[in-house]
This record gives sequence, C-alpha cells and structure tokens, in this order.
Amino acid sequence: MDNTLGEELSASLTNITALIVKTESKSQRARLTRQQAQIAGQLQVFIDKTVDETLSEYRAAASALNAANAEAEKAKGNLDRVAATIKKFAAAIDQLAALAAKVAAA
Amino acid sequence: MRRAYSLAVALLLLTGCALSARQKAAVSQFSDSAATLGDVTSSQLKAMRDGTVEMTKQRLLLAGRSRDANLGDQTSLDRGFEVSHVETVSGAAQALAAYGKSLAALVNDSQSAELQAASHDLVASLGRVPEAKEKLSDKQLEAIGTVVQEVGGLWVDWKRKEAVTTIVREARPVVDRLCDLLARDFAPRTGWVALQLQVIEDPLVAEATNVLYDGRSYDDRKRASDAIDLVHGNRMRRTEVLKRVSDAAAAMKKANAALAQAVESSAWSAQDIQAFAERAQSLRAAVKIIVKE
Repeated sequence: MDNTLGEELSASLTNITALIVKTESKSQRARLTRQQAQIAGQLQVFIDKTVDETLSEYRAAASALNAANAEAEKAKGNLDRVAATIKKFAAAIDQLAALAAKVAAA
Repeated sequence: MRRAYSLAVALLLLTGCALSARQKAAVSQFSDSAATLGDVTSSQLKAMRDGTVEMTKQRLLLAGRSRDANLGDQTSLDRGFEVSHVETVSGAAQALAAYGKSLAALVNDSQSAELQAASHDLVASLGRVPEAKEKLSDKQLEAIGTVVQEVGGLWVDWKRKEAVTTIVREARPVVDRLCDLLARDFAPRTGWVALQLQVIEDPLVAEATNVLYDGRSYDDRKRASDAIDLVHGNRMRRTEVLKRVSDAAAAMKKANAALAQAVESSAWSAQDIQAFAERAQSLRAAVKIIVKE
C-alpha cells in the first residue's frame, strides 16, 4: 500500500537530513538544505490544513516523493547518486507546489 | 437486643453496598495511571513548545532568514506549537488527569474539601475541552458534579461507590473520545505532534551540520554543536515520548471499559487496567530519563 503524503514528506526530511550529514560536497549540501526547507515548509502547510487525498495532485506529489525517497535510500549507500536524488526531489517539489496551489485555491 | 441486631444487619447491608477491596484497588490503579498520563502529557507538550521556540531561534542564529516562508521565523518562533493549539491538546490531557484524580479522591477516603476540589476540577476540565463538550450533555456534566457533593454522612461508603459508578458511567463517552484524540495526535509516524516536531528539528540539523562542516573556528563549531545538542534532546521526545503517550492513551480507553465493568458488576478482569498501569509507568520512566535538569 502507498504511503500517505504526510509519511512521504516525513521520510523525505529524514532522508535529506541523512544525506546532508553524509555528503562531502558543499554545493550538494547547499542544494539539499534548500530542498529540505521547501519540503518542511510544505509539510507545515499540510499539518495546518486538511488536504483532500482524492485530488490527482495529491497522488502525483506522493508518488514523486516516493520515487525521490527510493533514490535517496540508494544514495545513502552510494554518494554518487546524490545528484540524481536532488533531481528527483526537485521534481517532487514541483508536484508539491502544484498541490499547494490547488489547496490554496479550494 | 433487637435494635442491636437490626443495626448489625443494616451495617452488613451497607458494607455490601460499598466498593470491595478489589474494586478499590482497580479504581486506585486506574486513577493513578490516568493522572500520570494526563500530567506527563501536558508537561511534555509545554516542553515541546519551549523546545520549538529554542530550536527556531537556533536555526535563525545559524542560518539567518528562514529559507521557506511557511517555516517559523523571528515573528513566529513558536510556529506549530502556538499557545491556543497547545492549550487545546493540553486541556484534553488535563481532563484525563482530573478524571483520574477525582476517582482517586473518592476511593482514597479523601476529606470533603479535597473531594470537592477534585470534582470541581474535573467538571471545569471537561467543560474547557471542545471535543469533550460535544460528547457530554449539560445533564451529564451536572450529574458528575452533583454526585460528589452528596458524599458524606452515615452512608458515606455507599455514596462513594455511587459517585464512582456515576462518574465512570457518565464520563465514559468523553473519556473514550479524549483517549482517541491523544492516541491519534501523538501517533509516532502520522500524528501532528510527530510531524510538527520533525518540521522544526530536521531543518535545524541541516543548518547545524553545514556550520559544523564549513565553520572556520572552534566558536563556529561550538555553536553548531550546541544546536545539535538541543535537537538531540527534543528528538528524544519525538522518538521516546510520543509512542508511549499514544500507547498509554489507547490502553486507557480499554482500561476505562474494564473499570466501568469493575464498578458495576462482580465479574471483571483487571488485565486491561494492569496493562494501562504498565504503559503509564513506562511513560513516566522515559520522561525521567530524557529530561535534563
């Protein structure tokens, strides 16, 4: 069964923290730190407001985060994959922004 | 002679109408556990709020302006644990504690003033929690408040039993509801408390790690180390306290059902009340270990 958006967001924060601690590249750490702040900010919004789980944007965001988290799990064991993880989190953040816009408009 | 016999029979009948030693023990164990759960949860929420303010300050000190507008900043240091929010959840926990304390006062032969105070506190606590008011009619609230006022005089043991029975019966829907709410809010992976703490903790770990790795002086690294230490203390609450509160609240709901049976019939099991006592004890012990003076 798929995780909820809250669970995926929580896993993202945990995974990004782990990568920031492991990554030696300063620039990658900087990008991960910015992404983590954006994801934390979105999680804050979803704590404050109830999000309709039937929205297609909800499923798309949860799915994109799931893919990014899967990549992050691999990157924790192989730091060469951090760049790919950053790309996947960037795509997930776009999906989160679309969901946030939908929720704000509702 | 005949009068003495009648008195003896009356006393025997009255004794039979009082709570048995086993029933008193069950109520006592339950009430202590409820007071522990309510008081510890309430104090931990306050500690989480204080921790939130400190962690947000540390993040701003280390990294400057918030990187995301939805995160706390210098104008919202307590973001996520605002007073009104904490007050509501803490009110629910305090209502459970007041429920336990009023039952304890009834079975521990407390003096009238102590009983009245516990009863007033219970009625006031229940009245303050919106979710409790939804589940409790004014008539039920009045019954809970009135029954303790009547404890006293020659029939004191019988009246104590009646008061315990009335409070347990009338408060049961609302106590069950409050237990559900605490179990949900403190659920370790999905409850709002866990997610809220993570929103505050993880960005601070990130900023502190960057300063620790990139800092050029001992003072830089010391600031980062202090922030990491602060997060560590607060993270212990997330990993150790939340699950125990959630488990204890779920156990209290089961124990409350067992308690309702215990005071109304002779056939009941102490198993659920014992299980609740163990979880409340575990919560108290964990908090003692993690709290730094």
